[in-house]
Amino acid sequence: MKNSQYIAALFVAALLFTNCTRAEEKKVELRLDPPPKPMFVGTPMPVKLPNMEAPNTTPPKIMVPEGTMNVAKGKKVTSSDSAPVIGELTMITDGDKEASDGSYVELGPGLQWIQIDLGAKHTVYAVALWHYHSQARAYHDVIVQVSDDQDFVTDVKTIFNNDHDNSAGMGIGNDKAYIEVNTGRLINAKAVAGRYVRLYSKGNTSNEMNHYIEVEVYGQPSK
Amino acid sequence: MKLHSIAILVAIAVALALRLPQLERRPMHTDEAVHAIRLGDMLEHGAYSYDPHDYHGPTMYYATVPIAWLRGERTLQQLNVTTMRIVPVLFGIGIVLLLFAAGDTLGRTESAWAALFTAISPFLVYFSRYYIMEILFVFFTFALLLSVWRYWQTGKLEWAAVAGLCMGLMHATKETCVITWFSLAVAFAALWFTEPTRPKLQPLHLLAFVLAAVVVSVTSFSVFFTDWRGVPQSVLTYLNYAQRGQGSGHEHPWYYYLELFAWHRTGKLLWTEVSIVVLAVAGMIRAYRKRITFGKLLTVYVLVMAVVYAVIPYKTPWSILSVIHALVLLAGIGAAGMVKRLPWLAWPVLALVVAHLGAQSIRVNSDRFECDERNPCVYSHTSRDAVRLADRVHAISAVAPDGRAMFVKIMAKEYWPMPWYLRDLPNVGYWDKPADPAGASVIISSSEFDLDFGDGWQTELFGLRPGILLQVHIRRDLWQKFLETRK
Repeated sequence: MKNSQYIAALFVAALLFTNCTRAEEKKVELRLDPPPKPMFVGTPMPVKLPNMEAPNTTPPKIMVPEGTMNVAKGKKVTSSDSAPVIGELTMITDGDKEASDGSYVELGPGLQWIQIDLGAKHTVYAVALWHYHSQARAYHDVIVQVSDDQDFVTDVKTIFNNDHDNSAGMGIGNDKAYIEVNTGRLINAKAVAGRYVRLYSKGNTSNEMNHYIEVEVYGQPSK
Repeated sequence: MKLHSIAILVAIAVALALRLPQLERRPMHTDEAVHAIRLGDMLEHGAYSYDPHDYHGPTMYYATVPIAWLRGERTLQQLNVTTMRIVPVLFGIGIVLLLFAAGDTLGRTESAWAALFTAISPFLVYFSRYYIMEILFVFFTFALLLSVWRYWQTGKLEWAAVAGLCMGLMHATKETCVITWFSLAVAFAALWFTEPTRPKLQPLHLLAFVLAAVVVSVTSFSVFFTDWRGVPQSVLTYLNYAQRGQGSGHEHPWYYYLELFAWHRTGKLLWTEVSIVVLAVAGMIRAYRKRITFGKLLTVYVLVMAVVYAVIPYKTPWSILSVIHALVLLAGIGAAGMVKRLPWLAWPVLALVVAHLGAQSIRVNSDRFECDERNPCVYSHTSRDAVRLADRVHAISAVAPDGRAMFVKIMAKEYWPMPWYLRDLPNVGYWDKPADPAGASVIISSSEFDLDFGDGWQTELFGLRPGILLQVHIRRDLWQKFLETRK
């Protein structure tokens, strides 16, 4: 009898303890520590970087038929900004890839394009481009297209597009944003055919302007 | 109304037209953003603590608080860019207005030309739209110059007191006041020993001068007698500034200002105020030939100050505004001399100078060049891309379940002025090295860290300033929701 009383008492105590524990487990909103506050700083120093070294990513290896060459050199260039403030459109295909003043053309702010007329229909295997490489910067909404239509309305083949939020209005692109380097950007065109190559950009991380130092188009005349 | 007054009124109208439009458009420079956050602290808590290492004195904040109150802004979040930038605009106009009082000091035609040049000088216009102390400092300097000169002419006690008041305000504005005082002291000493007439200094007047300066300075640095820590620090700070003057990353050669102001070529773009320099030199020659005493004073003052600023390794474009202002006053003397001596040549030449300076003022403040590093007034300025970055963070918060309460983690050594642009988000944390991403909806990191959080994140590149890039990592689910809003 005594034992059964003890067992009953223990049972009641255990029940009470469990209830207490459950009461203690009442949920409360999780609150994180306040995040660290910003530190005040002085006037930032101007950044002057020499030509950046190529980043860790290596340029793609592109296999092309023998005899493939830069078919854009010296070819006619037109643009959405026909009167650039700095430089001439001819600089884009003159073979000069230096980043110094006098080697680049500056187009106006916002979405701008340049277009190279290859003179005849070509099979394009690769496009190499240099926007500006005397400073660490990335150009926004870089889109490269090839077409036989000089107005780029029909038969447009997009070979590169890093406009991942469709801010240029030509569809979302999945290619990655990249920082400009002196080795340029090599794009695999996968043997698309066309007479015209058009390149878009929409400002850059330093300012709203669009720059081109050089564009090379590697291909062969279409048979 | 006299021609002199009409000319200055026209100059004021031109000054307003060049300074007022679209004050909010240019992205906030780091210095402006730091001042804005400190101002927000003053608005919300009435708090100000003088930092002897940086950020200067409190007068600009004191001048802004009433304007913020008038515009109904009581918190940092409510604070508007225009509210802050209107302060240097008003002081920039004040510099032109002071030329009303300089008619019998500088000469009426001379002060009219000086008013016009002040109104259109690209450097003076640009920094009259910039929320830093410099234009206030130039205003107080000019007021000091005129009041000391009045005292020199009249020997009256009230002008000694006004000069002291200006001196106190200069001290409570920026530590570089000692360079200006030294240059002024040398210039007045030169006059003292060379001019036939000089004022009779009275001890009572000197006492009033010193007392006014000390009272204004102490009142300012003690936040109206509520916090006395700033008062001794406002003097001890010069130990820091002696070291800082060596450069602190802002070292430039002795000819930096000359190149910046007189002949700044970047590619095919040429920026020059060489016409002001040429007219100022003409003004200096005329001051000595025609014995214009105030002109002689300005000549010695500007030459001494220019040499001091050239010698100090630490250089930023705005540091030289006092020199530019003095050159503009001398250019007024030079232009007036030209008009008197060779009117047939002077009018067309000066019309060209005014047109050129006006056009350049429009260009340095244009949408295209106001934060372009090729603009000589631009120094380590925030890129427009940084504003786009802030817009992106806000767009993500609009689709995030916890809205503006979402966690944003910033992992970068360089992130200003983001605290200003993200001031409405309560859960933004700042780390100067890579940190645990847990809990974050958006992570902003320095591109130098090259962080990769995997497929669960969308990464974008944005520019903070030329050469400084930030990676923005957005949680994939929020990115998808955001893209839905773009369709």
